[in-house]
Amino acid sequence: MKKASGAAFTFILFVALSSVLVQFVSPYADDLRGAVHLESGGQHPSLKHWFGTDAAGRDLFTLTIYAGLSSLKVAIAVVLLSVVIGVPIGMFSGVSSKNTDEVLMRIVDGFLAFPPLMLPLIITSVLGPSLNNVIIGISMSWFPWYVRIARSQAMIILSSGYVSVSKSMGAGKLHIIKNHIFPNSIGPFLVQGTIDAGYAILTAAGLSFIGLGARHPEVEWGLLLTQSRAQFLNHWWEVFFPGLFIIFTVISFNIIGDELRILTNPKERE
Amino acid sequence: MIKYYCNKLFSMAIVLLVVTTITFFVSRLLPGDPTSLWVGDHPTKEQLENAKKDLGFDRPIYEQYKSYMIGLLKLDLGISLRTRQPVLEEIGKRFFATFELVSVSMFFAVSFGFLLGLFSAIKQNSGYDKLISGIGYIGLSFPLFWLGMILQLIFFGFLKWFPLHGRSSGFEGVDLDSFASTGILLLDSLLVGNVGLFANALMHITLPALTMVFGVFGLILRTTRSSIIETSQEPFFKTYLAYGVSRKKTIWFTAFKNTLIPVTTVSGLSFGLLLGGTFLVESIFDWPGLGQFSVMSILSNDFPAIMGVTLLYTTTYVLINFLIDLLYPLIDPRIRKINV
Repeated sequence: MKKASGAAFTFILFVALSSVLVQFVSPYADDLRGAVHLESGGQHPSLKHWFGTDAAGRDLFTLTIYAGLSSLKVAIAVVLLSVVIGVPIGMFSGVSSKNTDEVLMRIVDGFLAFPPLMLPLIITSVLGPSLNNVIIGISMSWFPWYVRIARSQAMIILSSGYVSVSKSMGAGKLHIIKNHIFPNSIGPFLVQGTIDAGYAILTAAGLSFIGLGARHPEVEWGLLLTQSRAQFLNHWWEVFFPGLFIIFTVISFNIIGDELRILTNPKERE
Repeated sequence: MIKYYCNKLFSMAIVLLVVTTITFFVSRLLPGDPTSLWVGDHPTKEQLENAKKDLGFDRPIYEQYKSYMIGLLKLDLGISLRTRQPVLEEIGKRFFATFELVSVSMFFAVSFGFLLGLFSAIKQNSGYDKLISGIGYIGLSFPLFWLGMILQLIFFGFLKWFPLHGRSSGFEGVDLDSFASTGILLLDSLLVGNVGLFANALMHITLPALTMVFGVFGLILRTTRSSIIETSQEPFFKTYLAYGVSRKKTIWFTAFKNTLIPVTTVSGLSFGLLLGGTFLVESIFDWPGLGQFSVMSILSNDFPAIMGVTLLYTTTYVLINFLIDLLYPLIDPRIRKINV
């Protein structure tokens, strides 16, 4: 397991660094700004073009590496937004009276009752296709999970001895959330956030694929796959490589998340 | 028991209410307003005003909400902006194609997932177990649209074993409506005795169904496997082994039953994943169902159509999970006892 999580971490680090640096290093950096070289279109992977070129002659290695940037942006933004919306609601719900808690939970259940992908899909289609709206759409369907985790953490910690002592000394709800509940529940959020980061990338790629996410001058893995659809039966490399990056990224986040779960939870360390 | 069912029914009703309310508010989030789509390009001011009145966007939001809810109860999903037909009719035309794809995929995902999970647990930690659980693990991280395209590349592009897309080909002249009308091609073709069409439909559904199955069977496999392994650590399980009963037999008689509850639960989730998968898989394989319809509606900003499909999918998903809740006491006597 240690070996796997090391490899996963290295891969994510590679995606992050290379996607930032590629525009300064690649000899085909112009392609990222929409350059077209029809004369070199549709070339097989070769020493010159490692992942081949697309129909417009853009170097797919440069594009695929650079696309990592928008995917990581989506991942980080979705997790942060879900935490920012979900955690306060969950903690508030956890320390509130039974009725408030009940109402909040019913609303959260409503959000969770949509089939996966459905809510991001309609929110993005209503707001209009763009990567930022994809971030909003995915966060709106994922924040309920953070509400759930925050609520159960709040309830567990609220029932522990030191919190009762703190309460008896006159501590208010806000004080308890700030000083006891929040610091003690960072672990589960870290685990959930890491695993979700991978699935955010997967979902965003799917939305881009059906035309709801990134659009042309932008570069994103799902978008690269859509752009390959017209000629992918003859140009396998246009489909193959961007997909491989999605898979490795999602799996890497999964492995890191599992490792964090073991690290933050002494019970699972055995 | 009756109290348990009433409780579940009540919470399902609340969830449906919340879900439809969320959908309503999402549809009103629109930055512009949908009337401009209704009247087409370059409308006059008057046309816009009229359209606004026709569609009811000039009324206060709570009145819009009220008429929206009443409309839903009457199964009125509005008119598609793209085809100018009632959304319900448009959905009806495509429902069975999606139903066919989802139910075939569901059947194979659950049976493969369950059986492979069972074998994996019996041969725990063997090479076979590691391979199978590895594939299941990876399946969940796969972009379905990528897998679909890769399958098309391999089985259509290189091997030429399966057709590229569509639901059937070369049978345009066959009139199924006059014979049978289940709307499910695989069934209809058999009912009219057209074996050629059946084989053709089977070839067409293989790749899209395979894509969907690969995306979800890992979930069921993992649940089955971990549930069996968990049971095999219980004292009673070890007692059986100590008496000399083989591991395989003990699993068959004890752990097997214990998988039913968790597997039923994740089957509900898998069903939701499959519904979500239809958007991607149907548009890749040009499958004439609701997923492809929604994607086309999205591209032309046809909101009533998108909302119609959303409501149908979500209601189905909620109902399936409700049915699963009803199954629990039948499967597990312990739940029956708690809720007497």
